[in-house]
Amino acid sequence: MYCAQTYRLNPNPITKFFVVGLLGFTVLHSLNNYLEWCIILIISIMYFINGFKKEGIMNTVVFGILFLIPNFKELANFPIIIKMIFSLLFVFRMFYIPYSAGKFLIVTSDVGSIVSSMDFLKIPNTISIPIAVMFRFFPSFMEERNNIRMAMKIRGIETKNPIKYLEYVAVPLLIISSNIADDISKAAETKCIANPIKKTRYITVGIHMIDFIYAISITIIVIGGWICLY
Amino acid sequence: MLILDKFSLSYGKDNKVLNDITLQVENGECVLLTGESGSGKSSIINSINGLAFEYENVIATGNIKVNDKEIKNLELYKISLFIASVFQNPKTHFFNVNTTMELLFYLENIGLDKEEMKLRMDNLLKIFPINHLLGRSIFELSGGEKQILCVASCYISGCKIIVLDEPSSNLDCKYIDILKDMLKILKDRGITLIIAEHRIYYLTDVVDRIFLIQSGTINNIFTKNEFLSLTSKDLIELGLRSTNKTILEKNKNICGKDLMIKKLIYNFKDKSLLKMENVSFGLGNIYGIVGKNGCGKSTFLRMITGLEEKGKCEILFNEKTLGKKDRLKNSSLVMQDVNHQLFTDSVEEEMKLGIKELKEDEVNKVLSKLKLIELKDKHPMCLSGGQKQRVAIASVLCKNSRFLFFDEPTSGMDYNNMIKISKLIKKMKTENNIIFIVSHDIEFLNETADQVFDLECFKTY
Repeated sequence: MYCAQTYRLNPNPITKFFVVGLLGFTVLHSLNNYLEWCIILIISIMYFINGFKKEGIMNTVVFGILFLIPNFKELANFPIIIKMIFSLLFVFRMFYIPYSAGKFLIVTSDVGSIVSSMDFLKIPNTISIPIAVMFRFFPSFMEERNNIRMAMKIRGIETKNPIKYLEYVAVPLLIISSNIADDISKAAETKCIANPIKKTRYITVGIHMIDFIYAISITIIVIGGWICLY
Repeated sequence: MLILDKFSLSYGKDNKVLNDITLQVENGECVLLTGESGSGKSSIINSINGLAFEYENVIATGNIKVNDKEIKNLELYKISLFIASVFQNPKTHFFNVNTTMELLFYLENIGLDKEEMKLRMDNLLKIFPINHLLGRSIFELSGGEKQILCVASCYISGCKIIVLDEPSSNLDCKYIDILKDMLKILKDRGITLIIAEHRIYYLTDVVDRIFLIQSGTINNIFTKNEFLSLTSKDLIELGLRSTNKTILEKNKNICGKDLMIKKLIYNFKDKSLLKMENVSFGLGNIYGIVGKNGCGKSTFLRMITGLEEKGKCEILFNEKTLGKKDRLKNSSLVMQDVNHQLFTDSVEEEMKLGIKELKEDEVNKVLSKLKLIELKDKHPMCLSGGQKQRVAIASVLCKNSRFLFFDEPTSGMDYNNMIKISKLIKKMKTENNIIFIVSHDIEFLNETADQVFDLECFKTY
């Protein structure tokens, strides 16, 4: 068996999608601070056991910083400008937990396992293929973005003004993004992705212990947290 | 059998790229399409694999037939059932991130069962020893390894025709030799190969016929022996590269200790080490930097220009230490993919970007020198590949840096264009600058560089 990679410690994309969906509701019904930390630590541990140490540490550190931002009640007493800036950051903090789970999904899932898991859920090709292409797009995009950043640095383009920065970065980024998207679709099409026959999968995405641990622990924290609030 | 019969192709109404092409390729034959950049080689390849009709909005007349099936009327997946493609830049031509999954992806899409997939994989590994490439992320592979994987995935598909569009343009000598061996094996197995390529020397053992394409038409057809009997003068007149492997010329002894790498240490992820000590470069010289795919040429460029955050680097210029910021300020880089470094909405603005107090006269002077003055108000992204590269070079000239770096400036370029770039770079050389060129193109380095450094000499594994 030519095993592409070990899935033992990496949950199935379906589990990861489920967790992202569930954590999406925490934006509407926020959780206790301790429970929020629990979720962030679980995601960081998941990064660690899958070999993404840097991402694991960054996840905790970024949330740690966002955690210090005062909430809307405390903000009410501040001057208007500070109120505006901090409210934006606070909104980002509200979305950070589902964002973090989503990032974990993107970073640790490869296209093959996503296609396989969508096949498992009987999702039609017209939906699953664009999603798979989207996932394949991110890593290439990041690689190209680094090259653009390098080119900007050596051209002496100042990056302090975020609007100017966007203006400069937009042209090459758009052109390169469209090239990447074209190339990926060409690669997929010349490999018969649009073939209408029933496809086979060499690696069927199974369900392992880690799927239960990840999904159940997050579900208990979220549902338990809401019950305790009432 | 593949037949192109009076085949013409145009982009829009006026831009005709192929004109009345008639050619016939027998089963198991290996044909080479060669000619200048922009002559239409890639258009022929993209017409055969069907991509031109799907992606480039072309108008085509005449026929392309494979075993009596008209390609123009087939959907891409149907064409891909009997024609496989290898592209010029393998970087983005993988659909999967994992290499094993990429090899199996085609087989999954044609609905093969698992046992058959395993058999094909065993068979592939017997012919091509690529076990070390399995189960890896494509982002970890060097350019050479990616291209090998691409050819292997064509073989595993079982297609009887493989089209290759400049497969060697990003490869070093070692991988060109591996590619050559792979092509030989494919040919021995009766697979038809249609290759568009500038580099000819590595194909002389494999190829049966050579089609010389000029301005969208077949100008000449040579058999292998006819082609090999052409003298170098004939080849240059036809704008073609050498049919023999070019050897890197011996270094000329040049002195100069203006820029000195006192110490440079970089640890790579694969635990190899790049270590340089007391290497010096003199002003007014052009240095070539060679080394096999993945040996750290790009990392070296990033370190010396001050772009790399990791690693240790101590560099002196006229015996004064140059920090990262100073190096960044004094360096200019022309990247391999110039799309990364064009930021503004006109050529003129591009020249002024990042440079304070640049006079209009100077901009015009540089633009005239590079024959870009008429394109001054155009958007850089709407120019052709060659023009874009000249815009990037012009912006480097405007910055007037002390250290100029070129990353693979001639990849996929024909002889005449290569010579043009070589002349341009030699003109840029002054007593006040040092030019570094990272390249695999030995013909180009022999033509351009004063001294060549092999980075392999500074690497330990």
